[in-house]
Amino acid sequence: MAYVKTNNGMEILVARAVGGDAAAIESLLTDIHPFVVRYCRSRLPVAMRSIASAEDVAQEVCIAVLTALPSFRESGKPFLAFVYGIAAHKVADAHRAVRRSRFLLFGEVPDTPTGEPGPEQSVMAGSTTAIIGELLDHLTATEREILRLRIVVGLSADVTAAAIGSTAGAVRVAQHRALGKLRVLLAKDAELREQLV
Amino acid sequence: MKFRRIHASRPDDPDILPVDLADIFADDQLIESLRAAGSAPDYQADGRPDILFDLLAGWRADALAEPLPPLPLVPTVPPRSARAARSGPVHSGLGHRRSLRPVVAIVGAIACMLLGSAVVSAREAQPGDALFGLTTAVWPSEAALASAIVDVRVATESAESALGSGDAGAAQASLGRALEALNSVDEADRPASLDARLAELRVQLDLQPSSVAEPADATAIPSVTRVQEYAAAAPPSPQNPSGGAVAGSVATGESAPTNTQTSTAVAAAQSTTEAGAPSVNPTSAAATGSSAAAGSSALPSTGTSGPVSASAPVTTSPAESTGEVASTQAGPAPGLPHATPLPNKVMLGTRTVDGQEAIYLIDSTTGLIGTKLTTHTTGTLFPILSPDRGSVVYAEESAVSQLRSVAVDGTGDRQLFAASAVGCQRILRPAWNPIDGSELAVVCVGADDMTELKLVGLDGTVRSTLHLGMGSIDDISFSPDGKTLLYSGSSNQGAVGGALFHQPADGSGSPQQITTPGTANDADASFAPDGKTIVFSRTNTASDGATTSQIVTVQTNGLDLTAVTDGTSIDRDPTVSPDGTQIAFRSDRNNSAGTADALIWVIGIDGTGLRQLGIGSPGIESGPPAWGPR
Repeated sequence: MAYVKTNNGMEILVARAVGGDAAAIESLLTDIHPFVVRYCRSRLPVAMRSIASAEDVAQEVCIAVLTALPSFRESGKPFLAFVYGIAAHKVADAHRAVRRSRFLLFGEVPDTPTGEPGPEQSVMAGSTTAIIGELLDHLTATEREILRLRIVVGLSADVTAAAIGSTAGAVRVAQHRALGKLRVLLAKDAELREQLV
Repeated sequence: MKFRRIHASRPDDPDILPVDLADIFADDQLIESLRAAGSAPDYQADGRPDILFDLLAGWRADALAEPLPPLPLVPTVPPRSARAARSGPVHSGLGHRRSLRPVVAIVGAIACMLLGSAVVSAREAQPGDALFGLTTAVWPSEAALASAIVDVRVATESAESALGSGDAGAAQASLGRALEALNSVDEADRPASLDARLAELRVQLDLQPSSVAEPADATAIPSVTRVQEYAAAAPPSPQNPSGGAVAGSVATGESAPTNTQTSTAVAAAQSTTEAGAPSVNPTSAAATGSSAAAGSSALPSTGTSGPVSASAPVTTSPAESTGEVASTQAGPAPGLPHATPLPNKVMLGTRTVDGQEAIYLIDSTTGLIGTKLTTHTTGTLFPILSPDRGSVVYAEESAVSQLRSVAVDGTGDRQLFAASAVGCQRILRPAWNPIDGSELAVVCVGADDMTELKLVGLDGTVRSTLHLGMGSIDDISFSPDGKTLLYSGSSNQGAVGGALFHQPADGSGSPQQITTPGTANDADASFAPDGKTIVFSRTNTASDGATTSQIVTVQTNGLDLTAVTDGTSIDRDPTVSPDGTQIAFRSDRNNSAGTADALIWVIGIDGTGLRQLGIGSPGIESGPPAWGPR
């Protein structure tokens, strides 16, 4: 199979990282880390984070990416799409862990105030995310993932297409449809509120 | 917006009316401005504030609000030899004698730093547990098993749920994935409950109608057209010594060769895709049979079954068809390490044994692994044989990209030239001019990541550079008369594979497109000795990321697209035997050892006589084989 070529030179880093170049591994991690963190934060709601923190899962993803580097060439994808495949699996693993968990597990209780937002602040801060979450429930899984990758993670249409195994054209059509559905939902919501008033 | 009907309860109803290209573009611009985190139109055309934009911007901002956590630690990596020496006894003590790949060793080191004495309990971690990722790093074989079982379960659940909602097509696709994943799990390790559920699913699916009609997707655009006919069943493999071992027969047991209707189906599907027609096409939908549902979706899904396109079997035994004597009249390539030319039955394989990648001789008749030709190995290798079969040139991809040469008996290994000597950052898989043995064709990756095609002498002098105006090309190959170059190309820079193109090697003509793969990727193309038949791999990636790759032949005029392998696994890097009757390729199909390690397999160019080479030899096939010219 052909070498995978991306337009940001990541695959050169990959080749060096597989060869054991520590600097290349670090550069690679630095490059993918923001994407991975954004994706994990978007997929793991605040309520779940006591069990599966987005940061922990992101860390797992980064490590798993390093493990999987030797198979990158086999994947036949741009590197970010390859990373996405791993991240999606890890997040799914985390969701399964939460579903299976019978007990809520908490970290150790801190002795001193941490300055981190409490539950209420988290809920308030997460309200946009909560609304979005509700809206996204009305989309198909693929549409949800496309909007997430395009908007939150910030991937181009091309890389998004490679990540989900589609074409850039189909991604643009799907994202347009998805936004159209959300607009319809919002319009109906507004109508309902006007009627109630 | 132009929606005329609104589905209040289920807005994801596929019954969506045609969309306006301008609207698609406008929404794409909106998303691009969100990505750029800059300003966007605050008001819609009618003057109302765009709540949706604000919500989406808030969504993105939420994920960006908190600062990034610190990077995972990266320990300093000791030299390869030191790592190997250290990891050996430690892992054999745990009963894992297989040496770990370098990066696995690195991650193992990270895991040890993080976990300390908790390492032993990490071995017991199940997928979904917090420690699972680390288990993957430290004990790849066990993590792979646990992960495979989870894959089976997830696919089974998805099949059950699809069946529950009446989507037989999706259920079949998921069942296919479940069975495939089950293949990689040893029978002893299979949870009985899953086996029972799968058996139940098979029964239920047999009772379902073979396909469920889906509404046509009026918004599909030509670029999402996808050729579906390759989801074909496997030709029987009487010589595959794995026999009924493990579950090989489960996955391929559904095969139902239907030769006659197939050629029409392929031809019909072919004509619609080649004409660039939209995927909503009654002929195409009919031709793809039970996988028709997939063809009508804007986003591809994996079809589980389809017409078989193998041509009528020709009963030529592989042993008879392999000549014992090299047939080419070409002389030795000047100035290269050279030895007695290889007989036609011997090919080169790129194998990784005990963590070291090297080029080996492999006898296609006996299947035995022979001489190891190279010891200088720091990266992936792409070997090609000289026209007289006495010398090898190979591209080595490591920190330094270079071309090297070695005689076919393993003597005289040396560098030909570094990529930088011909003005490239990297050199991709080379091709050897079959008429002028002093000339190679290489795909050169420049500093800007653009690819161009260079014809170079064996001494590293650049004879000509062809600017193809494509975003990316790879897998260059010469026609037998040396006049035509064949390659996969894409307008997208950074694409993998793409469509196949050919063009005159002297630069006198422009690229001619051969295949139109749609969302699939064509790669690894080379000519059969007849100079008309092209053998290549076509890779399909489903929306869930499942990848299959199939060996396919096509004529240079783009006609007679014919599947050679069954499309159930990842089959890549085909190379045609010098006599043109057989194809060797690398595949992760379930092998005689019951694993999915990549190994070399041979199949007749007519799709018959599938067999595995190198049975019983340690190692995996980590690069492409080279049998005939390229």
